[in-house]
Amino acid sequence: MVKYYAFGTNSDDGSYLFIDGQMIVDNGGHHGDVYREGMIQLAEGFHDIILRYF
Amino acid sequence: MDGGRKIELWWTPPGGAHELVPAHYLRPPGVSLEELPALPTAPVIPAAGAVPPVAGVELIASWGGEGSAPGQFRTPRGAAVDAQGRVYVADAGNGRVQVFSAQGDFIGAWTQAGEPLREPFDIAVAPDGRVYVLDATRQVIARYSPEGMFEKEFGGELAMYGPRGIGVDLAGSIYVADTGGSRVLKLSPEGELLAVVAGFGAGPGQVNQPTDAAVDSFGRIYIADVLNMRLQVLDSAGGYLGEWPISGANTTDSPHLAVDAFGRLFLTDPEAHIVLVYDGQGNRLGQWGGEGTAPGQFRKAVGVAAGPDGLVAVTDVYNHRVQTFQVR
Repeated sequence: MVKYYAFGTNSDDGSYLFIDGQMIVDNGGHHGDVYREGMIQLAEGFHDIILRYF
Repeated sequence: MDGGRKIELWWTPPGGAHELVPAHYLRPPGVSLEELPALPTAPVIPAAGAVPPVAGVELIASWGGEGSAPGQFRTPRGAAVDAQGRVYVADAGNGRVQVFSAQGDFIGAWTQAGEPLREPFDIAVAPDGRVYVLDATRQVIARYSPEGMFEKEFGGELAMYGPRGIGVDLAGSIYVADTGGSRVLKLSPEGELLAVVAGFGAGPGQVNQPTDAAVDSFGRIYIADVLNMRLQVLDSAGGYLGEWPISGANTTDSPHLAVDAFGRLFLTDPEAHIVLVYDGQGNRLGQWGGEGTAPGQFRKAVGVAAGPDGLVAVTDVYNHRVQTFQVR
């Protein structure tokens, strides 16, 4: 079953969220609290998630 | 480094509510969360020399507008400033170079006989006054005399792919960010390949789609390593000294770099429409800009060049103009 999931980050400064190697949230840049989100279709099972932030 | 420490991950699963993912899911298993773990220690880049702070930034001039008449631009992407403070603009969409005074007075325009410039993307002035123009589409470098006479072109045999940035060191060597080739190349003024300063990868001293390189008076090489979202600092032999994080960007509206005589490093952040100023260790000294069409604002700041006496020129791509600033 493939369904849409939304993911977002709220960060100070920048952050990036990658799922299965694809950038879902680009919240880059030097900034105060900023919320950004993106969507991805995911099938049931395990997925690689990388959250980078600074 | 002056980054904040806040990070929250939110999600909305199918049919579920928008909710915060508990922080303990963001930690490796077995790590106690009673106290925040120490931030990883970035390699400390040894100071090459004292860098003065930024005391203020003032707009000198803002000129252009979309068009092909003298003094107008189409998506200008690269800028250079010579020792006399003249501003050279890689007017990419018009396939020409235009030269101005720091106040924006039109001095002249060049194209190139024979094979014309197709997409002049970046430009650099060497200490001897020669001007190098990087053509991103033809993937060559054209060299001009200080008077603007075409002298030669080279780089075709290097098989670059969409190179976006060029810089020159005090010895006159040329550094090219071969963006699509994920390399930084060092060339002689005659176009001979002197070194592959950095090759593809994500490790120290490697690059992924670099968009510009600049060299300071100590020979240190600064690279906008865009897909790795970092600014890398290498010594003059290409040895890794350190890095700090920068924003992501696409490689067309791409971050560019300049270093002034004081060692202040200028980085454009096109997506944020700003210019950032750092010292050589990654400490932020200041920034200016913001999105808009008013003087001093940008719609994608891309090209940047530093000249004498704090003069900095910035290309403002989608306002089709160039702006000069006095950075004190």
